[in-house]
Amino acid sequence: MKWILQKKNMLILTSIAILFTGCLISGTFVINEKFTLNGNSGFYYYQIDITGESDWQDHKDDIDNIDVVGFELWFTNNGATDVTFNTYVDDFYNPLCTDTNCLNNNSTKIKIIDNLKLIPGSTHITYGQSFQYLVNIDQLRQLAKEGQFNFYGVSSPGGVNISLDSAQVVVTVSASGT
Amino acid sequence: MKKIVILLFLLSCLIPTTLIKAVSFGIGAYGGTEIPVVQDDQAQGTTFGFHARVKIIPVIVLEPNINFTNFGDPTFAEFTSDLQGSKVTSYGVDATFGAPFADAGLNLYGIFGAGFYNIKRDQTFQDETKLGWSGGLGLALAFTTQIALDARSKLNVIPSDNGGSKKSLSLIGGLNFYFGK
Repeated sequence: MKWILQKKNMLILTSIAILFTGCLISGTFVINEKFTLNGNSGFYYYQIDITGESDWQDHKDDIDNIDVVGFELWFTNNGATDVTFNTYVDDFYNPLCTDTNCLNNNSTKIKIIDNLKLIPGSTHITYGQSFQYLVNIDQLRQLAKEGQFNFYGVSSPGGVNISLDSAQVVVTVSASGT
Repeated sequence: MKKIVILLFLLSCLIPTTLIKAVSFGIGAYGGTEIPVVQDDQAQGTTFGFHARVKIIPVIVLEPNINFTNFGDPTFAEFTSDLQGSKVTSYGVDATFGAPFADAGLNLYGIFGAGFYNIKRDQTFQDETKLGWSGGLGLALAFTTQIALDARSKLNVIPSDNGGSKKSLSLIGGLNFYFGK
């Protein structure tokens, strides 16, 4: 006890306490991937896969949490009336739907954007803005933990020509080594 | 819990002088910068706080404290950088080791503490409170036995749910006032 209470030894013990834990090599990483949706006439699809990104490769075996998933989206509504856009995700290893009927019959899909209104012309949803449109966030984070998931967009009315000019998914990952 | 700690801190400032002299008591305020450690989703921000100092034995001082941190907004090259930094409010107790209580001159000491950290980011609907810990080193320069300049470097570690942790480094400076010895 007397040894512990000596000033020099207390400083050494405190320094060791700071370095102890092993969790000093953990961190939070932001991974993004650009993509363009396939399809047209109101139904769009893409298989998102961030597992090839370098940060994912570096930490794939040590992922503790998916903290946040967000999107950046650029739309153009080429029609003269508003369009409603809904977005769904599904497990990467379920069959990829390439038409509306398939998606309607898919019982495992999860809606993540509910009735986003696209006015005629261009609409830009930034990463920071996307959080206010996202629903079922916990299920989305769970899917994103695999690093891969199927992404679907459905516009209504389907006849109006809209295009998703550019898109990005942004995944914030917490990982720790041992 | 947070309100109770704040109330206790304020009440501690009202302790009669006679009692303060008996137990060796001080108060302090500080501020500085908060640097995220391997956290891509936060940028360097500001921090400030208040603490009481109570001598337990000659070289161990307990510090009930409350801290307010605002991380800066991170920037990203690949997409629009409009993610807001988190706000962290923490309250707990630190112990300082090694430096005598309110001694004149320059004193180096170690710090180890624990507390509750509330992390809030309205934009992503994050609002969670975790039990975390901190450790570091401090340097006190006392002009008299009543007043001292205080500089600290402290690593804050907030464990995550499934392992790992969020870490940040506080670099702070402040003033301590002593009422008894």
